[in-house]
Amino acid sequence: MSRKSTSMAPHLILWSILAFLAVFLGWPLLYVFRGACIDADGFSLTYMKALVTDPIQLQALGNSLTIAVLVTTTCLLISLPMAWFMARRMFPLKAIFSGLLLVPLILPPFVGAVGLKTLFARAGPLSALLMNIGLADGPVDWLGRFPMLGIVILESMHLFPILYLNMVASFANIDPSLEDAAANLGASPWRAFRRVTLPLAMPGIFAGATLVFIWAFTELGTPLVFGLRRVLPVMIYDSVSEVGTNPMGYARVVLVLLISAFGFWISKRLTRRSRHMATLGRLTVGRQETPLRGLPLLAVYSFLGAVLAMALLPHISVLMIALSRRWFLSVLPQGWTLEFFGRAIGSDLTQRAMTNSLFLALTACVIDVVVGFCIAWLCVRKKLVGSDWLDTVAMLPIAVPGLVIAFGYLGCFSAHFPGSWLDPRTNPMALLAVSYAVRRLPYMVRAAHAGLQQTSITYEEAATNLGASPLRVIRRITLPLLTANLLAGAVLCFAFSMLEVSDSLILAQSEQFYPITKAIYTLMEGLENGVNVAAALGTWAMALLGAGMLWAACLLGKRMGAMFRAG
Amino acid sequence: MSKTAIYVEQIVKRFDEVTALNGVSFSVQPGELFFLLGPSGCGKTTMLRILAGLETPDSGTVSFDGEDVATRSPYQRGAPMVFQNYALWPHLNVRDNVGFGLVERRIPRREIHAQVDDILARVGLKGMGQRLPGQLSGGQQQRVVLARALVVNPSIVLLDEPLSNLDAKLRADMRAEIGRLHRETDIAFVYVTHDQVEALSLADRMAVISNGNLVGIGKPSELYHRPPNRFCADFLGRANLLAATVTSVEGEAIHIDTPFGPWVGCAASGQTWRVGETVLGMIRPESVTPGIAPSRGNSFKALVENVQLAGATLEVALREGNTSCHATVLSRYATPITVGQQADWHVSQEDTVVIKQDEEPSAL
Repeated sequence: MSRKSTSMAPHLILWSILAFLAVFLGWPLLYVFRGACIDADGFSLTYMKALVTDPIQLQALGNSLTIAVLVTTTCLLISLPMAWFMARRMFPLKAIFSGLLLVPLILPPFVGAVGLKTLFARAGPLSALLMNIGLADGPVDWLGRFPMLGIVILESMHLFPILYLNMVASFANIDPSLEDAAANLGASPWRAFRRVTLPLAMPGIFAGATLVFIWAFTELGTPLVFGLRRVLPVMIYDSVSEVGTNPMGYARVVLVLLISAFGFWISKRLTRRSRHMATLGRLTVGRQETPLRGLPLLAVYSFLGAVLAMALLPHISVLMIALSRRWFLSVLPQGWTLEFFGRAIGSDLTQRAMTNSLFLALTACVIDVVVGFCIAWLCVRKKLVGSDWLDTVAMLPIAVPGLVIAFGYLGCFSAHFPGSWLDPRTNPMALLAVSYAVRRLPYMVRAAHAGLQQTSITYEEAATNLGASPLRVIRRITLPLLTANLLAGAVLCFAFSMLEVSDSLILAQSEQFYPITKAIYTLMEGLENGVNVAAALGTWAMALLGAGMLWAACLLGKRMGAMFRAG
Repeated sequence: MSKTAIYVEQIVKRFDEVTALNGVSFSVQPGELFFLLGPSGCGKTTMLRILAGLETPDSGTVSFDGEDVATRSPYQRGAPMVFQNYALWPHLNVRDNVGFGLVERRIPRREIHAQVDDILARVGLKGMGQRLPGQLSGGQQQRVVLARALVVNPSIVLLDEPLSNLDAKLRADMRAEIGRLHRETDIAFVYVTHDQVEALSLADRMAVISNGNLVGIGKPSELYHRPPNRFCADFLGRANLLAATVTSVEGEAIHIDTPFGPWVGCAASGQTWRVGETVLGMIRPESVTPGIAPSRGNSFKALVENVQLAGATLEVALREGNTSCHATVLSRYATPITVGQQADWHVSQEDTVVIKQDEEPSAL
């Protein structure tokens, strides 16, 4: 009797989570596919075909791909040398640098875009500087002449830490004696790196590069701020208003989804063989980190300094815009003020946006902790029929761009539940919380998964053996032992949800439901000094997020890198 | 008549293709210190986990105190286990680790406090209650695990290789400690190990397991001196095995033909012998004695091939034709045994054990 009831509960949890994911992940995706391929006359590929034949559509696709390729390449060029010397060389202040390298992640690039746009503007400080030192004889319209320049810089500077973290983890996992063996057989350090280290690190590099590619490919906020409207994400955003009537929106979403999935498939295929290398790459001897001195040290410092300066430039300019009274054709602002910080938290719009964002992020966070822990527990501890499935499905949101989910929600829930609490046109709060939760779920699952795998099952068996029922075991043993992992996952979920862009821009359509990001976007477009207030609000959010990330990093320590691993 | 503490019948357990247990049966009396002994991978730990309810057998029954426990969940078994890797919860201090089972039994807090104090004193950990497991030495951790199992006042305690993580010196101390704790209580201990010295020195009774089969069960001295088969003979200590043929059987005495001549031996009970059957004559090295047998012994002549001093004993290698034999004798400064010598040796009839020839021992 009792055996039956204890073995039913995990199945019940498994199937309710699968149902949750089916409704809030599977259904919207199917709905998007249906919308793209089925119209009044039945099945048709006309719309999909138009995307790859019509010159305007083709140009949008080309622009998006160009941005993604350029961003990925830039990130690779920055991260590869950086990860190598961070993993293999010892030098003063290394710990501080490795902390600073995470800072770019805390600011959504579209807020940084506000800063960079001002910096690059016709009458902005860069033009002023060039005119002052005589390199230009009038204001230069940087963004007009090189529309993609700002976007690529911003996204690269935002995304390179993801690739960097993946690479450091890969390098650190390679047995140093493998390189010693290569040297022993006559390979120079450079040849040993190329022939041994790099091939072994490939899975991590591919995984990180794929994430960067997809994030750059689907980034909505940055091109929107820079006014580059002919890219796929912005065109999807523009088709939100005609979601029920024009299938082109769905077709674009499907195209984005297919390209993302293709990217993941390639990355998986290329690293397929690496599963068998995993057992070889284990550390057998302690790693010696060679200390750096003299010229190489100087080179490392200038490289790190340059990258960090570039990466933090948008953040700094956002802060300066928030503080400046007037900044027109001068290198530094003409006059300072704290007024905008007050206005950023004083107006109706921003106060409501902050409350909304806090509420949404907290709700998403709670959903993620509960669902994420259950998934990890089922997969690691229960190994039921179907839990492998669950793991795969829960990881899917890493490969599914937020844009796609948001668009799918808008389409299917407003069509099937018009006027109800699930209709984003009436009240998007429920769906916003769920979409935040679904998108961050992989990080939570991963954090809990890692925690459970590091915790020996005998701790739980010992508790069972002394008379604790399954629920009591979870409460008294499993959860307390996983606190650090769950907390870190929760902080990341919260932080990312607070500054979520694509779901917020697409789903929140009336002002009373705006989250912070949409408020920043609206402020920028609007009224007098709107940019300054937007920048001030961005600074507040940055501070909040930075504190959260710092806390998570402290909790997770070196495991931080694993959070951004794909596949 | 008191009930049997544990009764195990025909337990079968398969993991995919591997048969971990192949119809194992035994019983443990209340208050008995019972050993499950066998090489690693033989299925002994699986048997212990089945007793704890952490594994479910494919078939067979387990009963505690005469009651079938198949339907009892692992948390309702009431048979606390001492885990091989201790499984002390790192987030709880010694006091909370030990008190865990009492909390689950809904004992009032005041009483828990008193009982934990009491058991900590008994295992020699007085005043250590506030420490975290990470702050304890290996031996202290072992004591906490024992205390955690004993404090819930069980009638059965399961121990899974409890000494395997300790160094040699500590292992001997803890072995004595476990023996003492067992004598102070009337709890039945089921103790799993691969170390025959641990089993022989501590056990009231023991079961030898090989490849999922129970191949020997009984008192340590019985199993050591009268092994029922070749596996037990080899596994419990060193054994000389001589190819032999049964010539006649007279009650307990079995007459066999060995390369050393016609001998008389005995055997573990419950076996039948056929005249002309090919068997093995087993003699322990320490029962091979210099000189001619006084009266009813088995004497033989052999060449001393090698003599090695091992401190307290001399290890002597003997040979007669193609047959070799080892003898262990106490060492003296002036020893009469020298290499190359043709000498007389003997073994008593009680120390000559006849065992069946088959390579794979049959299950009991």
